[in-house]
Amino acid sequence: MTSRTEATQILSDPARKEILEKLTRNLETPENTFKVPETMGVRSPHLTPVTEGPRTSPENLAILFGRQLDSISGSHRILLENETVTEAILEHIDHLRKDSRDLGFTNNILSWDPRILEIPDLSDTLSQQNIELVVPEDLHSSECRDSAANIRIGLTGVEAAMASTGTVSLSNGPGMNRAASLLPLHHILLIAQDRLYSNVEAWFEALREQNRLEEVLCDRSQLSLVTGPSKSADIGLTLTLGVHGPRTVHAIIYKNT
Amino acid sequence: MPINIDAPYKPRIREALADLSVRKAVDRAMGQLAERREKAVDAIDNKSMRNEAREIREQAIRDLPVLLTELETNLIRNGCDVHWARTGGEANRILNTIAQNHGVRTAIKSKSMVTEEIHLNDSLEEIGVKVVETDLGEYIIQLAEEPPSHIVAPVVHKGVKDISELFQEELGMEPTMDPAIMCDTARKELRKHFLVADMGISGCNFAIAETGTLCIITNEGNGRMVSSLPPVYVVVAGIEKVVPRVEDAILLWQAATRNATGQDASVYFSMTSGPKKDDHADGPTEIHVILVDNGRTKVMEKGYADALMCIRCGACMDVCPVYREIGGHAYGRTAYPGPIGSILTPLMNENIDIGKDLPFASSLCGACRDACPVKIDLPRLLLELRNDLSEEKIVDPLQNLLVRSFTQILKHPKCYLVGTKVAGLVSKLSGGASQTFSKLPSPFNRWTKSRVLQKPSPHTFRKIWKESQKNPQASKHSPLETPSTTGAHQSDQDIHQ
Amino acid sequence: MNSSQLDTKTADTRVGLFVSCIVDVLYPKVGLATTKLLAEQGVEVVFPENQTCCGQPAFNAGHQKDSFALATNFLNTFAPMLEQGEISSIVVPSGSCAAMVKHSYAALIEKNYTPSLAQKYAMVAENIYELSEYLVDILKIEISPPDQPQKNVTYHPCCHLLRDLKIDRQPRLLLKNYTNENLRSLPEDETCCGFGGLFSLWNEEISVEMGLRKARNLKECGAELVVVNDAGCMTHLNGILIKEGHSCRAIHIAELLAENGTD
Repeated sequence: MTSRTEATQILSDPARKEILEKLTRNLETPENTFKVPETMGVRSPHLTPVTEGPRTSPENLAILFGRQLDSISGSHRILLENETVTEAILEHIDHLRKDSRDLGFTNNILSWDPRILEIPDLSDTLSQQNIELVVPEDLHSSECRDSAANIRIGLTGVEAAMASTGTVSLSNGPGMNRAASLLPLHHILLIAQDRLYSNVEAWFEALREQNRLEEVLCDRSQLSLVTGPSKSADIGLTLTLGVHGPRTVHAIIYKNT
Repeated sequence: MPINIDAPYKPRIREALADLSVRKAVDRAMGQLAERREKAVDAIDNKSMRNEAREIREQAIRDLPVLLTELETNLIRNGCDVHWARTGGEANRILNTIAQNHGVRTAIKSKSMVTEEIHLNDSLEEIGVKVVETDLGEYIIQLAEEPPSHIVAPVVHKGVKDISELFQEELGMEPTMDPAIMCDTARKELRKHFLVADMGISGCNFAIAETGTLCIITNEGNGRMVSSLPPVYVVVAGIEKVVPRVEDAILLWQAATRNATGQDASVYFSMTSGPKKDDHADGPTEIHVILVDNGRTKVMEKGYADALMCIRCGACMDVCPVYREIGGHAYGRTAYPGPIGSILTPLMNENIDIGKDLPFASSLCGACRDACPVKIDLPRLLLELRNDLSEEKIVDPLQNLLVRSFTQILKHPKCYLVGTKVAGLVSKLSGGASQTFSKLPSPFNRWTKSRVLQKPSPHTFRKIWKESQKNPQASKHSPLETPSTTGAHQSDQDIHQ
Repeated sequence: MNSSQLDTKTADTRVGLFVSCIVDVLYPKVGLATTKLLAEQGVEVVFPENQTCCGQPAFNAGHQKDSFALATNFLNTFAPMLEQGEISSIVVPSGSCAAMVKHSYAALIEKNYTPSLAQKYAMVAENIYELSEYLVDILKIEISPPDQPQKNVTYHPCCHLLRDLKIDRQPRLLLKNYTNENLRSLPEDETCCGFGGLFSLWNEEISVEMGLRKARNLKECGAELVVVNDAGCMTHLNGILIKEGHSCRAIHIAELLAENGTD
């Protein structure tokens, strides 16, 4: 469903032809052979990962990820054997309620579909504490949007978490709305230990090996790599958090059974 | 008070140098950015990253026509609309048509240099669309009605006080110097626009050919907002933004963030491939991609394809000693200041007067070349541009005349000897005990306005040498009496003992 | 070629001196100091009189055709001497001139290619050295601190030397020994002083501001002398330091070391 009209096509097609012709012609000239001292010329078969990717246990990756996330103004909690994700969520919400900058607090969480989050009894346990999971159906409807806009906490899972940079990848799709990690002031991430990778490059390598690149990137419309809370340094080069996206990002890392 | 960026070159530079508060802000900002950058690149194997980044960009430019068609095919397969534009005017016409077709009243924009280039905001506003910049820095300068002064940090020229006063006046904010409160004010204000906008517009940092994916780097989250909330999302991308593979984009992303702000990774790296599916709760229902030339093929035509490798990280201006003194607005009405801007502006801009002085506004120190993550030899390109501009006679004629006369004298050994004798004579005749000139006629008064100038020695080196060869014994160990270079006073002595 | 008397010494210890036009006309003492430093190490210095200018000012001003004429003169002066074994190397007391010959000549020759010129260039580029590079890497000179009390000394690395030629270790080593490890550290030392050749005239306002920044940094580090390898930078720095009434002075490394460093 597009608005590609004749009007834009009339403009675009001759431009396309001319641009491609010019490029082809110009690239043949001798000046454009990219002279640089030590010019490579041939692509290396592999790209060196920018950050190190330690081969280590998932437990260690969890620690590294948590440490990195903390260092960029995020926070985390690695669950022990006897602790549940739901408890950790409730604990964090209690902590958020003490945030003095947060005036007023709704008992709703903008969330992914709990079936995707795969946490047993999540909805019910939260309901018992008067906290409702709100899973938006269609954020293009103004009603849905208005109610979503006031919710202060967002809850999502992740496609993967990468330890060296404290990055998580958030895909979107049925039951995985973008708004939950975008609109609220506070974002809670649920990370199953087996989704941890040492660095971003390792995850993409795995995706390619599994032939899942197209699925994760294209079929689902948008993939976001998110590294900590929203920030800016535009005002006097001073760091401020929560410019448009969440001001706090809290990762709960658990071992899935 | 921002300088008049439409003023001619020299008055603009003088005005920029006279504005001490902007200079202070720029100096502080560049110092910090350069420091953060250095720390971030020293923490990794920067040599490998630069080499590989260079390889990626070289391949991208070398295979540009093929990659662009691959990108287009995949974007269309993913459900996007792809448009092409030779000029900014064409791009704006396409965008206006799309806006009109959708009855767009408000558009929200994520920071994009190419949209600055083509004056996209003005074009939309002409058809009655309200355009809101959502990048905090861009929002601030939009409120202040000023152009950006740096490609990564557009508002470096403003201090906290300036921004506070602006917010108080435009947004009714309570007086405060707390950046957190100012940020919250902007957040609330912009959130209103995010939720009702009809169209989102962004640029594109990297366009991945193999999957048809458009990547944007932000720290604030406005990139995600703009590409997720409104029903229509438009991406304006310079044709040089293509990269072959996903891994290429991942490497260049990290190269850009480390070099731009010293971060290991930007907070958000949004990779959009297509519009929402029917069972998605959010996302745009339509995505339009406008691939823009606007002078890029011209850059290539003139032999400067190297400059198209740029990934817009801003490192070159962070380390540039000239930028540090004059700031971004001194480069004039251009989207691109600093070293890379001094190359792209004269090449891409229709009006040569806007950029013709910029290639000469460099001491060629090479700091930019050392910093560039894709190893563009910026000083080399500046020198080639100087040569092109001289050959096309676009350079100041006086400058031309002076250099040519100087070179003619130097070219011929006999002329040279005469020239040096004249210089020696001038020196002797100027009299006085001083070894330096404090005042000289034009154009050398440009030197003596603020500096003294060492006088030519009464005897050139070659004369002394020649004499010493004739009398080897006399000159072997005693230091010959010549003016000391440190300016200490010494009497001249005739070397013929 | 009208050079000085040739000795019967082998070419291994004979170098061709290219002083640069600015040293020739403004600072002959630098040329003499260079000669002295080399002679003291048993090197015979030859000064081919056909030399004029390396062509850098013209090249940087965007007059590559004129620059090429000067480059040709340089190559025709020095290449035959190398080819015939009269000299083993060319030594230049100027970082920017050495960089011009070594690197920028490639661009000029590419546009005006002849095999003979390319060959001359290859010969010259391989055997040209900036002074401090030659002293440290080839002659392995030993510098001892002078007897008399010294002024506070700092070092400003000239841009072409530092970034084009990547020569930094060598002058610093020389100065470390000269000052008995008391070389003062200069804040923002790698920041350009603002000379930039004709940039200092065409963009004099910016050039001066950059020089004033350097002067402020010099004042901060308390140096009385700042050592440089480039006479152009020296002219600009002293121009500002004297005008502003600072007591610090820029001095060429050859002059500093020759005055009393090696005796």
